[in-house]
Amino acid sequence: MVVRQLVVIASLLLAAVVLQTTVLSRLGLPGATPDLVVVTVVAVALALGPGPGALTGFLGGALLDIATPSDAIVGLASIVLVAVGLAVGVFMDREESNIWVMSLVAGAACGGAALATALLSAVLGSERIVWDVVPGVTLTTVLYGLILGRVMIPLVGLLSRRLVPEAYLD
Amino acid sequence: MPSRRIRITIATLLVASLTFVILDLRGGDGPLSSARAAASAVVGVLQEGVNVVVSPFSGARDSFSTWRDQASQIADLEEENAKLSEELSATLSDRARARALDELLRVSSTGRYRVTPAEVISVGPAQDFAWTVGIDAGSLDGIEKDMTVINGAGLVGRVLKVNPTTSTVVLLVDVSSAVGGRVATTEEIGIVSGTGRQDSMEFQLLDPLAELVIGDALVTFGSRGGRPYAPGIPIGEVADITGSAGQLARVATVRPFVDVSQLSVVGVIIRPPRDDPRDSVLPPRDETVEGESIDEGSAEANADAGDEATVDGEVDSSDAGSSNTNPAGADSANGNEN
Repeated sequence: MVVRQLVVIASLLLAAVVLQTTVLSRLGLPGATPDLVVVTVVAVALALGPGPGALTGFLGGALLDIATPSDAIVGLASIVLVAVGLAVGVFMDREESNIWVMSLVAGAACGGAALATALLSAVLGSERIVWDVVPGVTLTTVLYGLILGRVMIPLVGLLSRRLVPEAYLD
Repeated sequence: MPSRRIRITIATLLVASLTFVILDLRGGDGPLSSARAAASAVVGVLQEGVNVVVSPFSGARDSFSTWRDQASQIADLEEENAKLSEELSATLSDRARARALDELLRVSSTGRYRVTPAEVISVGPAQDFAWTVGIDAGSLDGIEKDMTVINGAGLVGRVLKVNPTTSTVVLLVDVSSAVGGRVATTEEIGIVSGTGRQDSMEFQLLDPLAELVIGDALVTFGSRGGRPYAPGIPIGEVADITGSAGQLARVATVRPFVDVSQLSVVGVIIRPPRDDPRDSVLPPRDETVEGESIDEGSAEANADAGDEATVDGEVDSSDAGSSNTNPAGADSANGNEN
């Protein structure tokens, strides 16, 4: 059962990372790139709880650092995404079934993750952050997170119900 | 509150993440390099696969990329029209890729760089504030860290990380990028640094009294051994100057020749040229020059070369370029040693 959960999470993350770096980054959308990985973490946390949500966050962050072109500090994305998975899993009411509220949570998680990553990078000494672009990036990432959440959360919920029903929380 | 088991899991994951952060801050390759090689190989294959599907749509945009002036644009359109009626069967993406490779070949043959072509298969997310892309060539193709990356328009960036089958390239507009640049007309030297913005970089001249005008083109000065930057590669042109000559706060804004949001085919310079190509790789300027004097700088050779993009023009420009590198090259060979 744990292995099956792990396989489902790993496949979701792999698809999210590949799609985010090949399709979504090249679309040339204004502001931030739609953050499919954060939305996947939120969707898994909503469907399977805070434990699997945090694990998804850790693995997603590790995959982003290792396998995509980025010069960020390795491990930073993992910390932020573990926190996102945990927070969403713990604070979201399991009976909440309104898809728009859940999409809003996904959007807020994207914005929070982007801000937290920028702040932590600055604290750890990275000099790349262009602070006057940060508000625009945060706003656009919340918007894209909302749209992606509307699509991904029901999808992941459906997959969890079918593939790992014993872990699915409802 | 979450159960005890969940709390233990969370604590373990956070400790592992913090360990990664500390190891990365400490510097060096770290114990993750084999995991990185394996993961990047797997993800790289997937990215190349998706790229095959996606590239016809981004290739359509590339085939309408920038040309230099009205006259050459009209000539190009007429010749393109003729080609189109002959080659109706060729697909749009193949043609765009062929043009991008043609441009790359022109740059590499004019400047005599030994280039390995590669394709951009992934783009780092904008939230990172780092301008990085992934290409599908790695150490197995001869790529090494700190090699220069160019395309048909000019300098793209340098290689940051190398995996067996893929590499990460940091672009010239990234904040950590600083290239030694030379003004094409006046030969003044300075540093071009990325600002994190896509279409403006900062240029600081070494000599604060040097003249600089809007429209001046910049080429790379070249580093020792051609790493991280080979000499003679077009960087961009001066778009704006604040302050006047003599002021320490004088800052020039440079617009890069390369459109970093539309990268597809790039070339990694495996071996820099024997002689500094100086200004011969720069595209021709708008002013018309009479006479064929080749003892003057390369700006005139470029103007004489005429249309860069037509087939005839390509032959002329590479002849004019290569005939000009010899006298200039001999002069700069000594300068290049430094």
